[in-house]
Amino acid sequence: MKVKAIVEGSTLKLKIPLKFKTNEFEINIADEYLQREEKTVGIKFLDSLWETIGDLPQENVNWKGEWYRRLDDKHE
Amino acid sequence: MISMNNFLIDVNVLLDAIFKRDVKSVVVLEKLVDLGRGLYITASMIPTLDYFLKKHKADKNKFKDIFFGKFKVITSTGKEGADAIGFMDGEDALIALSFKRVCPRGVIVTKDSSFESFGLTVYTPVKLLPFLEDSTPIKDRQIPMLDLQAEYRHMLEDIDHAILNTVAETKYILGPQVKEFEEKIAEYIGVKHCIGVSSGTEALVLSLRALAIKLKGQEYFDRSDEIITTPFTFTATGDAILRSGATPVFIDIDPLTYNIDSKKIRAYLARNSSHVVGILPVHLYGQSCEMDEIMAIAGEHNLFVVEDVAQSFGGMWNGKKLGSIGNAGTFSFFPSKNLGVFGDGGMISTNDDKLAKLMRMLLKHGGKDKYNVAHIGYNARLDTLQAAILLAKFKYIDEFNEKRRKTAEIYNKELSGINGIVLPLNHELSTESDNLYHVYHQYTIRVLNGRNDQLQTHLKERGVSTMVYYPVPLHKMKVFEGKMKIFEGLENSENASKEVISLPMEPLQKDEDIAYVIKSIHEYFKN
Ligand SMILES: Cc1ncc(COP(=O)(O)O)c(C=O)c1O
Repeated sequence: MKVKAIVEGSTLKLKIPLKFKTNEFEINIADEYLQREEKTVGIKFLDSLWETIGDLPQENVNWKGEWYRRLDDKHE
Repeated sequence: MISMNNFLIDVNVLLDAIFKRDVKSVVVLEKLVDLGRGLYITASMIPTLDYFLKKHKADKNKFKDIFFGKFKVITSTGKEGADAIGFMDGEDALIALSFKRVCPRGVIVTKDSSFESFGLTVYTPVKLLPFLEDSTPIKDRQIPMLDLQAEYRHMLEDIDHAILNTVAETKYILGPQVKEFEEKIAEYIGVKHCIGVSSGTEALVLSLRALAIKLKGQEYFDRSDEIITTPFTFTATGDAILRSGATPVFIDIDPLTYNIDSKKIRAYLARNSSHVVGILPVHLYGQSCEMDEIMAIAGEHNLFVVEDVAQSFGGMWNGKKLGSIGNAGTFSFFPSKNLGVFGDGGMISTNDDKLAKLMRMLLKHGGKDKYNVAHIGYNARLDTLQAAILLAKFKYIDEFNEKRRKTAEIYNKELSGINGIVLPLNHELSTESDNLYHVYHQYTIRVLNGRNDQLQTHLKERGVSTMVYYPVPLHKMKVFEGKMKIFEGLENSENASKEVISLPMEPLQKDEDIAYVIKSIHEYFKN
């Protein structure tokens, strides 16, 4: 079944039904979205970047926090 | 829809997309790439990016190649750095100040609120998405003839680096970049010598002066010496003939190509050949003159040929680059030219060693050095800084000329069939010449029935810029009064000057903008 999901303004075509708006659900959309068969130039670009990256972080990351912590460590 | 063209992606959004942490960041980036929008980071963001790439064991070389194919990196100046300290968040202030200099109407995509005090548009990915998906027509669209800002941004890193390096090196006069440029272009054009000069106008004057010295053994031509040229050109072409001491003979153009009519050159020479010393054909709008015929005529009458290539850098005739066919070729690097600098600049090409030597003398006061002055010279050197910029921009010229040709193809296809305009002759398809490579410095149409003013106004009201090159043919200008010869009537030039309009022609123009120009022209002719 094909449904249209509105995720805070973004219109994504999905093959899976929608239930809740939770973080978990967003991850589902992400997977579904990113595994689309026809890939646009933009997704091809991102795909090729992802290929260069080793281990994608599993947990949520606070980039700025981590960066500043690292700077602190470096200069202590 | 609002017209948003340039986006700085803040590091948090960028990392979220690159490390696939947040779907909205991914979608925003995908859409921006798909829409072909300008994407930027600043150099100050690189250490953070570098850290996370290293941490996750990315293949950094591969990443670099792919990433910098889409993202431009903006340099921050020391002054911006110092100013940034005065703000709450110095790091973000530095990003915003530098981005604003390059893209005053740019958009910052971020999850931080600290960017809001710089007069730039700031969106989170979530807020931005609906705008990117909105397909309602853009309001207040402005389409310039040429977009030099977009071109600068496109070549940002190369140009910034070239400028800063050259300034720091301090070899401002005839520095190594001038020589490097001359050698590179000589190879590109296929000539023995290229000589950088201060403008296209000086390139013409120096060429003619060097020819006078070589051929006549005198500093200037005599007024009785005639040089054949077109009246449908920029003033400098005819003016240079006067400045070389000779008399311009204006011969009419072919109404289809707007270039000098070689049949008429023949007709003039059949009757008055004794005083003619040379021919100065102008490859107008990016299209070559009929060079086989012009060279044949010159051979028969022992005339020199100086090609005015100001508008046709990279253009070709029968596989030969323009500027490599006559005794000399003169180029302009005025900012609006296909290859343009950030000010004035020009160049001469030649295969003639003696002429090259004379030209090099003339451009620096007329001597081998400052204290051995043999000729009445000029100060007409190409600045090292402009040469450095040319070297940076030269990389893009073939791609840009190809893009101009594509745009012309679209105009040709979509405007054909409108009654009341004449499209540029697609000379490449005619049987007269094989292998003519038009570089469309201008895409110029002819508007019939006296409606060109009206069409220009109609387009202007819709934000579409147009220009008339040239509204006054040279023989109508006061400067040439009593100093020129005119062969027969010059009706074709006079009619052209009343009817031509050049349309926007920008290598980085978006297809939707070209479509908008076309639609606006169709609208006018429907009424
Ligand atoms: C045909 C032609 N000749 C000569 C020139 C003079 O070049 P410049 O402006 O660099 O002196 C120009 C352009 O400006 C031109 O279009």
